[in-house]
Amino acid sequence: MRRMAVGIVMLLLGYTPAYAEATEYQVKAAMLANFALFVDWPSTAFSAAGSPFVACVLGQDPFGALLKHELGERIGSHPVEIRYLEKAAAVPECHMLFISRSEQPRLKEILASVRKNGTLIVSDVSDIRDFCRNGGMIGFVMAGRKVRFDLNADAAAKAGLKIDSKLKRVSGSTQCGEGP
Amino acid sequence: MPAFRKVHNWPMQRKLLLIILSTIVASLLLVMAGVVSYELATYRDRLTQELTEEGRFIAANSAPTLAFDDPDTAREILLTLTGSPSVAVAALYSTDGRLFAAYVRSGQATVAAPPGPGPEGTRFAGRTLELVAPVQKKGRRLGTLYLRADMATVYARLTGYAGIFLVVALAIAGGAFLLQRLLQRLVSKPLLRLCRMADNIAGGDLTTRVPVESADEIGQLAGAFNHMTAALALSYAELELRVLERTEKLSSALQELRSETEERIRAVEELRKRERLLIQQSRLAAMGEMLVNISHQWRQPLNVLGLKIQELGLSYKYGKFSEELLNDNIAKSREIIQHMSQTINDFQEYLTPNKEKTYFSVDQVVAKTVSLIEENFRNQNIRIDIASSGPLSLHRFPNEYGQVLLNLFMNARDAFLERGVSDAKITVRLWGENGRAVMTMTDNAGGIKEEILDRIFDAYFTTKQLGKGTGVGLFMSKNIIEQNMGGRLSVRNVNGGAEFRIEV
Repeated sequence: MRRMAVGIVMLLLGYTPAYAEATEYQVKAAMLANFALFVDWPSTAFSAAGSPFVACVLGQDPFGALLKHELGERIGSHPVEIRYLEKAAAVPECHMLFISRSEQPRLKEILASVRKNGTLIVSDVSDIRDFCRNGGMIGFVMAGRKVRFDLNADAAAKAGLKIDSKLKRVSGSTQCGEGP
Repeated sequence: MPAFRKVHNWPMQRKLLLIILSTIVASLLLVMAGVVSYELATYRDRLTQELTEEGRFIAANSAPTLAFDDPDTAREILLTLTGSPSVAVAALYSTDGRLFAAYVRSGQATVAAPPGPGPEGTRFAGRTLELVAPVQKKGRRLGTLYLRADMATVYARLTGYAGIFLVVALAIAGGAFLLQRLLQRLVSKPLLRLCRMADNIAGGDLTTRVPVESADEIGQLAGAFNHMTAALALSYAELELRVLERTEKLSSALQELRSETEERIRAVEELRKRERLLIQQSRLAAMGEMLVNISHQWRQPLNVLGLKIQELGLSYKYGKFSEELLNDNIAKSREIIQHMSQTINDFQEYLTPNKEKTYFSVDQVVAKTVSLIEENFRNQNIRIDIASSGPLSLHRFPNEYGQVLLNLFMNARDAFLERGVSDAKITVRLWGENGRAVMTMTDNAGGIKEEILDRIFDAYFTTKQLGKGTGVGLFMSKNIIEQNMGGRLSVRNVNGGAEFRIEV
């Protein structure tokens, strides 16, 4: 809350903040938008060139208007559509699925139930390794005051997603499900 | 010009080397000039292209670092530009224009990235090229890339070329050394060998041969040389043979000539001996003639002398002897003896050749000659008429002249006797003509046969009976008049006789 307050103060002062000084979810929203830039979906994921890019938020929404702002109008040629979901059972066809921290207790069930093919699954749950082990693809982690992310390249590849190799370079790990 | 002359005097091998080396160096310089001018002409385009590609690569690679706020990785990516020496400065700016990451080529501490990217595009500023390009992904702007390149690559490339040229030049130098050795072996050595051979030939050694090692011009030259030497040796041998032959012929001819000359000399000697003999004979004959003449001269005084002695005897017998008569007789006898002695002296003097030219009167010589023979001629009824136009003087040899006259008189007498001419008469005429003394002696003995007229002055030619004439008289006379006195003795037939003519 304090951080958020500082960000607001800065906004009020007309100061353009660096990522570090921006709020955590502002950063995460921007990063979600950027993930969309560096991941290529299979052609079957879109029925047409003009069909919408569907971004879904499962659970309690931490972004508010920030996500809409960061994703912008279009990703490539696809208009952006954001859906907020309460339950995993009702998950429709999403190109990107953000699982909110509020869904931590049900993470295993959710990950077992959601359709993974063609869906980039992102989350900032506390146990990212567990998330990855169960099929999660990108997990936010904090490195000091900075927001970083880990990749589960295998899972993404299984889902038919092509992650830009350059994105792997800036990630903390590309195999976040592996190891101890 | 002196430099050219210097080159002119170089050995052939060095000249060839000079040609080859200058060709190589000239082409090398041309290539170098072409490369350098090409580099300078195209470096802008190539630099632009290079920088654009570099920018595209950096932008693509640095896009996630801008998107995910990872300046460390961005710097790492920019550091890959150390492999691109043309890029001096590189910088990434975030979408809000803030400097995100920068790179400055090592060793260029004074250069720094500009605080802001500036307008997009490429532009030249002096010798540097600036590129400002957007960094974007899927149409979304993530930041800005700034690149600045300078001429370092061009210089580096030119330095590289210089290095290559240096290596090539060194290789050429090495090659030139090898080439020189090769040329020496292929060109100079055979040529020098030919030179030595030519020297040998000039020194007279025709057995010299050059080994023909190649089929090129030098080999052909060597072959031609060998051919020439062989031909030369052959012609020398032939020449020597011919000289030998000629020498032999010459020596035999010389031998022949020598023997011939000897023979001729012998013949001449023989002839001279005979001539001497003849002259001796003729002199003896002349002396005989003289004796005859003397005897004729002496007949009268001897008679008178006899009469005087007889007179002395008779006068004593008849008692008419007196001292007066005796003295008179002695005086008269003395006078006669004196006269006879004078006659001998005259003949003696007459027959002695003059040693030097003296002035003499031709009339007197004629008169004296006539006085020597007139008694003899009178006995044989031969009349002598002398007609002189006046006193004629000559500076010659008077005794020789008289001898010739005597000889002519004697020949006339012999002709008269031989032919039995009854009214024998000799006419002598003297006169001067063109500063010369001319004498003609004409007889009426019938003349000389025309067919022998031109032979009567030849030596040993005679018409007289054997033992009477020697054939030397007229020959000697002609010699005396023409050789000794520079005059002329000729003969012709006039009516009823021969006319001898002496011109001196």
